[in-house]
Amino acid sequence: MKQFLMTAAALLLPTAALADIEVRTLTPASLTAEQSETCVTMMSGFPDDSPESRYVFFRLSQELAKDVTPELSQLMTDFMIDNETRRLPADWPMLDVIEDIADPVLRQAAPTQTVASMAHIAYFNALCGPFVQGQVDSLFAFNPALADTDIMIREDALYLRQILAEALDRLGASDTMAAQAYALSLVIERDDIEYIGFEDEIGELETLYMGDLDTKLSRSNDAVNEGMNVESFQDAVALANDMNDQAREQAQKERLYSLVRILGGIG
Amino acid sequence: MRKALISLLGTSMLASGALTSGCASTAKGVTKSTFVAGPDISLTQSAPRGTALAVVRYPAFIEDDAEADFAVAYAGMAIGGGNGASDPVATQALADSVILKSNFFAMSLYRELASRLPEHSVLLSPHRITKASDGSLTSEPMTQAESIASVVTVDFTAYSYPDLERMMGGKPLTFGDLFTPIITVRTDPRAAVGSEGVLMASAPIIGAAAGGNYSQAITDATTLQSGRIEAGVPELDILSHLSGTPRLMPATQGLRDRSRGAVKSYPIEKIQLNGAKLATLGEDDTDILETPFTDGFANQIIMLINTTDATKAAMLRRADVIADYDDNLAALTLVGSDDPDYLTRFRYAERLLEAEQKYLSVQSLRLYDGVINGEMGGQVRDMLKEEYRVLERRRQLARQQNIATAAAFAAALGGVAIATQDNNGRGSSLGQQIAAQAMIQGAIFAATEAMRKNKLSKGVGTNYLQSVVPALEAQTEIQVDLIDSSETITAIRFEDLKTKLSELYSDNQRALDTVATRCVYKGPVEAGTWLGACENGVANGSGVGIFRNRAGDLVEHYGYARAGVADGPGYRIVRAPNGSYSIEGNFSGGMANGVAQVERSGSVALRRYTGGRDMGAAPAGSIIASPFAAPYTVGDRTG
Repeated sequence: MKQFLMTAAALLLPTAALADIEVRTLTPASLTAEQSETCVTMMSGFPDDSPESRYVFFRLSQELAKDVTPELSQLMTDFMIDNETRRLPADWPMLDVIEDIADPVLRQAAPTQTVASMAHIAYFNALCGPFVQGQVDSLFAFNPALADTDIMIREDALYLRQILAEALDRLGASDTMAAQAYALSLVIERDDIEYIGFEDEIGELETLYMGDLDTKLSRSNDAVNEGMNVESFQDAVALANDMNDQAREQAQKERLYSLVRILGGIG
Repeated sequence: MRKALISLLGTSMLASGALTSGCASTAKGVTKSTFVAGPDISLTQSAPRGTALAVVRYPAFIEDDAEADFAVAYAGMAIGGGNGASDPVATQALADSVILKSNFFAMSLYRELASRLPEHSVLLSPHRITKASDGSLTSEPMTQAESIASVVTVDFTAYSYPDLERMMGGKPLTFGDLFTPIITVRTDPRAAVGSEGVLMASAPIIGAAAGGNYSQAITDATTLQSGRIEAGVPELDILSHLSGTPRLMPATQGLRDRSRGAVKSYPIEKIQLNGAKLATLGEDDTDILETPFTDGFANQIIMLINTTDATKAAMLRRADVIADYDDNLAALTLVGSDDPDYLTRFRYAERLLEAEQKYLSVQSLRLYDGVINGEMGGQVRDMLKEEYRVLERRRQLARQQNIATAAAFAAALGGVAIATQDNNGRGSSLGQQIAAQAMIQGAIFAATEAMRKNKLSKGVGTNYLQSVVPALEAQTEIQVDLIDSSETITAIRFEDLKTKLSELYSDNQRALDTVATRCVYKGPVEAGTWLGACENGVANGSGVGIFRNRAGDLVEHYGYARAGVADGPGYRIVRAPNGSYSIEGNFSGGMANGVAQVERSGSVALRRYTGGRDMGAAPAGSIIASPFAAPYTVGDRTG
């Protein structure tokens, strides 16, 4: 019964509320008890078989909602109203939502359904963003290696976001500023993802080449230093000392000779 | 008669003692450098990606065919005054020791800077002294460290006066516990136009450093005019000094002054290191230069980095390196663009520069390691300890000579006094004559002793240097082996790395809407060259234009052009024969129009221009248009 009420409450939220929620800065504390419960319910539908799968779904839901501006939210809401497409029930499993977006038949046959699915995800993130971030942070703290999948999650999310852009295009929204801004954000996201791939490849090259260079130079330094005649300098110093001794003896003789000349009388 | 003879003898003894010996110096230096070590100055400057903050350049090796010329120039252009020609073997040994010690002490500066600046941002660039095609002495880098851009370069030489006979005087010297640095800190000649890129230099080489930089800037501009982006590497300033490169004397200022457009002049100083520390110098000892010199000097360098325009300092060399990967992009990077395609491509290109920088920094670290931590470093440390012992012996002999000289003076004066005490013309008593003769003989003995000490003193240094020549050569060879081996290994893999980077870059690129090409810049007298965005065969968009003004001076214009002439924010450099100057501000119809910042030797001022004419000073705080501040769209008058 409680579950039903919460779902009903979510359904009763006016569709325009999505745009309103998006622009607010929410924290778990700022949510009403009812909203919090809605979030808990929605999140309970996330996979719970492993930290990995939970992490992937929370991050994916974040990524899917990226760049959804209030204007785009309004645009999606308008399409849903115009096409009498109802918001998805709040407890609709996230897995199903995502599968619906990716479903090629639905993509072709019901672009408004794609819009509704994406709106559902955007709504979930707008309402429950702080909870989602809390879950992501906790899972990351539990195992930082989970973040290694981030780039793949971003690629998957981009694919699904492109489906939304296509749907909007098919619904005739491509000339709206919101849709154009969204399309541009997808280009930037694609660039970023590609750049990260490039960065990874360069990073691998750097590690390989710098490590190799360092090892080779270190060996070369050792070889060159070993080849140094360590005695040549000591020999040079000994020679200098000998020359100094000779000079001293010579000077001593010259001084004696001068004294003899001085004291013995000149001429 | 006898009295006259004694008197004459005594007087001549005095004169002889005074002229031949005099009071010998004990070769002291200052214990604190002008660069007072204080609290570490923090870096506030960030260099563009793939740009080093500092490159330490030093003479590392002399080619065989340049050795004789170098020794002649080294003696003939002695720093410290006069012609330093002395015993050729000793001069050669001193020349070799300058190279060897520059190699060793440059590591101290590198270590200090590397420890205080971000990782990979400090590089070493050893130079080979060689003969240019016209037979003049020059130097060229032995590694590729200077192939990437840097905010400043530091030329460093551990100098010794070439005349060993004057070692005990006040001449600059690096021997034993004495250390004389000859330094230049400079930036790219496009970043500090008023001082020809020289930010700080040892006083005797300021003119040569500025002249050398000016000459390099002209070469770079001429190369641009021919359609190629190449930033040349200037020779070491000490070589410009020795080879008689035409001097150019920009305004100078003191080390603590902060005005722009002038060179900070660093006086020659002979720094006395901690002798006790030197006598027991070992591998694990703290750097002996750190406290008296490098700590304070590094602070100065960081201050200069903080106040240098890193974008201007790096722009040409970065474009040069980018041209290796992407010729269509290179000239556009000089002032940039906000075109998304350009920005994407530029981000990739910058990452390639960064990879090159990191790679080359490994080489510098290993050069440091090879010199300091191996046998090479041990031998140089032994040499410094031995030199200190030699210098101390010479100081001891000099002190003894001074005592003997003083005794000779006293004895001679005593003898003269006794022999001349009867000034009534009467003859001295026999006792007085014997006493006077004894005093004179004492004076002769003391003077002989003084001369002997003086001769011995000089002998100690000469013998040391003459005998150490083969060891010096052996050590220099080892140094060269270290650098050459390092460079060979690095270069082979560096080329390979560049190929891989290039492939990776090509695989990831999208098309550019606007590409950089070469076209005409409509100069006031004749057609110039524009490298950058072109339309209908003339400059249109961002890039650089090279042309001659009505006075015949070479002009570089970095910024934007429309219909073949400068239009929009621009940075114009005029290479006049008596010194370069720059104008940064708005341009229209090819001429400065509006408030501009003008930098000349010794001054940076805000001026108002109308149609290229200077209309007087602009109010302080006026905002100038800069092509480097934000991307500008040609035709947009609000830019």
